[in-house]
Amino acid sequence: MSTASFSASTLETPVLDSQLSPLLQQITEEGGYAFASMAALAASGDTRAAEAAKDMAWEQLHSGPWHSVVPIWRDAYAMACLHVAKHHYSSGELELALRALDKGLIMGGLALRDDLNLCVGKVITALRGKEVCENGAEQPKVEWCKDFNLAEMLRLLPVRSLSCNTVGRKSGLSLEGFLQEHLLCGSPVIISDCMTHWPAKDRWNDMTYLKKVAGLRTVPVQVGKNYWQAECNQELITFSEFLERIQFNGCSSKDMAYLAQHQLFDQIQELKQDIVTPDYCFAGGGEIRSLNAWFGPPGIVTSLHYDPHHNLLAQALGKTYIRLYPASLSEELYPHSDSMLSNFSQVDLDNIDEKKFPEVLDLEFLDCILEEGEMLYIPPNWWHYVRSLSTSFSVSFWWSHTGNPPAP
Amino acid sequence: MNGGEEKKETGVNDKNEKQCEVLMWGYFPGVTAQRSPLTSPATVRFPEGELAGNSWKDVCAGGCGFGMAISGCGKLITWGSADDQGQSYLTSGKHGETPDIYPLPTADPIIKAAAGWAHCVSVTDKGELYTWGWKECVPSGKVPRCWTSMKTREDETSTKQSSTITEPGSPQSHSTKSTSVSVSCQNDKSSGDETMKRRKVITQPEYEASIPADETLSLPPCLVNLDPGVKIASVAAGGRHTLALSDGGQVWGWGYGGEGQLGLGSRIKMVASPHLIPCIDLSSNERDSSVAINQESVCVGAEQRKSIGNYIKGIACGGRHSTAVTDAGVLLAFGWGLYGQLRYWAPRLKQLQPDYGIQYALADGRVHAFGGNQFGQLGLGTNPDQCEIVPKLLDASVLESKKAKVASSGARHNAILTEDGKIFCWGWNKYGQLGLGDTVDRNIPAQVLLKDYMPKNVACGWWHTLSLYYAQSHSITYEQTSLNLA
Repeated sequence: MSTASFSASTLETPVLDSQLSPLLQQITEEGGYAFASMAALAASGDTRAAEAAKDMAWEQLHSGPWHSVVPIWRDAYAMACLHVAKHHYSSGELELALRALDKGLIMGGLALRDDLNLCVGKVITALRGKEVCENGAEQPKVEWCKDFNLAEMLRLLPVRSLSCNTVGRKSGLSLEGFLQEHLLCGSPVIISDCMTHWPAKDRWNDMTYLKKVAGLRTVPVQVGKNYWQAECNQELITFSEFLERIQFNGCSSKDMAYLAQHQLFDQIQELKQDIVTPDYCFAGGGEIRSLNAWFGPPGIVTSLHYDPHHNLLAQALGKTYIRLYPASLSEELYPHSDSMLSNFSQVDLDNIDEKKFPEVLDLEFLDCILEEGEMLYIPPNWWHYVRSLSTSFSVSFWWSHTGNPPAP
Repeated sequence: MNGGEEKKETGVNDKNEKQCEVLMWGYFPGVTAQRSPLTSPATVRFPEGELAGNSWKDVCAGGCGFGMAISGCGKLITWGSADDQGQSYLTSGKHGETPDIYPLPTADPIIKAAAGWAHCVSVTDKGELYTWGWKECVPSGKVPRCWTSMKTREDETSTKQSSTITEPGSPQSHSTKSTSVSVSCQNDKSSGDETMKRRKVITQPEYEASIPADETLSLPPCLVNLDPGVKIASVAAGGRHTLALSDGGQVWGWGYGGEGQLGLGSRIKMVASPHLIPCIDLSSNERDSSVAINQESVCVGAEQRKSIGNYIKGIACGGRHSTAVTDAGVLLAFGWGLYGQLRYWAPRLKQLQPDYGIQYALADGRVHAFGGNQFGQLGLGTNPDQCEIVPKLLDASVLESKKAKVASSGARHNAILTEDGKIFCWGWNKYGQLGLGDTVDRNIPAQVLLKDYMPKNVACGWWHTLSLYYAQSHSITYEQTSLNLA
């Protein structure tokens, strides 16, 4: 990479260098007095001030509802991460520098994203150089653990699974056909043959490849069996650690790690090259909202909820069970009253409380087992419950359709 | 943040005040070389000059990177900030390690003060309120756009509340129209400049150059005018909001209310002038949509209206939430409730390690905690992911047979003072804010061991802790012991 030609001992941050004053001014306007004074010291090389500024910005990002964080505080956080990373880099602490940069990418704003990516490139290059010296030759391919019982997995599915209507499969579905028969009328469909050209197809079943490309990167994972469950805790660990956890204690529910709804492909550019945004997302003038990665061991559940966007869920690795309830249902599925969780159902399909939700068992639904290499179209506001049946890595493409704006 | 239980006695003239000293520990970037954390208690030097011979009277809660305390003669004293010209300097003063008087446009003694993220507030012995710092936290006196829509409802609820206050003798006769609240800011050209000049003489002559007057983001100390007759007894500062408690047991709030921390629901973001928070009504009319639009208010521990109480006797603020205690000992909470400081606990949504919400309550000297626990700040000895929705008794063995008399919370740490004069801290300790000599977080209370002194009060700042104590001797030695009986 060309970035490696820069000075060996410092990380270059051209955007930050030119934008420091206006950014600090904006942060000050939002009451970031203490942050601004620490960040100014950090910019001149004060490492303790850099750390303090990072903690101050972190508190701002975590002191209230995520959506109510004043956006400039995300840039403040990214700025502090850059300062901290610069310090680690010049002290030769490459892993720590990378971790700080990843935190900046995960939680920071967009203003300094180019600097963060530039620095990541440089740190990764340095780390890989080190690794090659230490490990030498190519590592052999390591396939995913298949040591689980599919029949057992299927037995754990919610009651009435696969007993009613299943989602139809289509191959060779034209854009026009998708538009007319599914997108415009809000009808789910499995598209079975549109991922054959994905590089991920051959790459992601090799743990060594994933480790090589992203192993050193820090990612946010949910720990706990059920995504969105109260017991579910979030951790920042390296992608390698995460892969190890899936591989070696994947099925022990105590330590289950799930990389869920994370914009992994914005954070790790190299992984983005393994996926292809389906043309269906643009049928009828759509606009991509976000790409999220969902990666976890067998038996991971994303509980019943809906999203306001069109969604193509691409199953790149493994298989999952998915159950869909139409968007027309709302009260019947008891959405949480809390505004933050209002798109989540209070009903736990794995353990339905029949006294509390008597009608739920009688509701009509569609379901399917989404196999590797297939995509499921989930129309906006359709309720969905997802349960992995193997180690599973899927990518969701969310888009909004201008002709048919998503409900708020 | 500020406070815990409010002590009703105000302006007490302590006979021993000359012997009082203040200890500090935690994050004071201007105090130590290279901004290293102060992990053990250190004595705060009393200012010389004007105040020579005087002593400390109290320590104040809040402040990010600076300490605040009050002298025996009622002067507000700040120290610890590292800033030498920015907005932070205007708010907290640049005193480095040397405490100095923060100039206020009043000669009346200060009895109480508190600081938020970027603003400060103080009360005089006459019940007047001064606030300064971040512009949006200082009442403007302008009628905000949303005010008219609130007016009718508020008149109604305020009136209702006034009638519920029955404490004999204590309620003032409030006119409850919100629009009658006005602010006479001392920051008009002349007096504002005067304040500035004074500060300039005291410390840093260059700062004016770096902050063009028309772009000033901070306002100098302004008198907050409430209705005639309203005397403020206590204040609490949240991140972006302020609460003031009148001697009549009513609570006034202003600043940012987007998470419901001003008792107006989450729709009204900014309240530019003090607004009477009908605390007692909020808790009983939770379901009344005309009063509680999306009202995130809860009454913890009270089942019936009559048991809620008649007036408020104590207030405290977190970053984005508020709490109040009634005369009947009922804790009311309103504002952001991700961690269940309020009526519910919601799991995280698109959020990384959400944090930073905790509340403590003292009941009969026993500490109850609820909220988030990422740094062990609940003190229950539980895992970081174990938050508490409802207050839970903190029954650590080190607190056995002890009664707490003061509790205070920082951003992610806590301190209590027990009746037998011991200080216990727990929670986040990255900046030494627990005073235990290290920077290791604690998830159960650990005693800050100090020889030869009798603590009188303890107050947490954002990342620091202050303690006021009766000095027994002038050469204090202290050692730290962690009583982490896991």
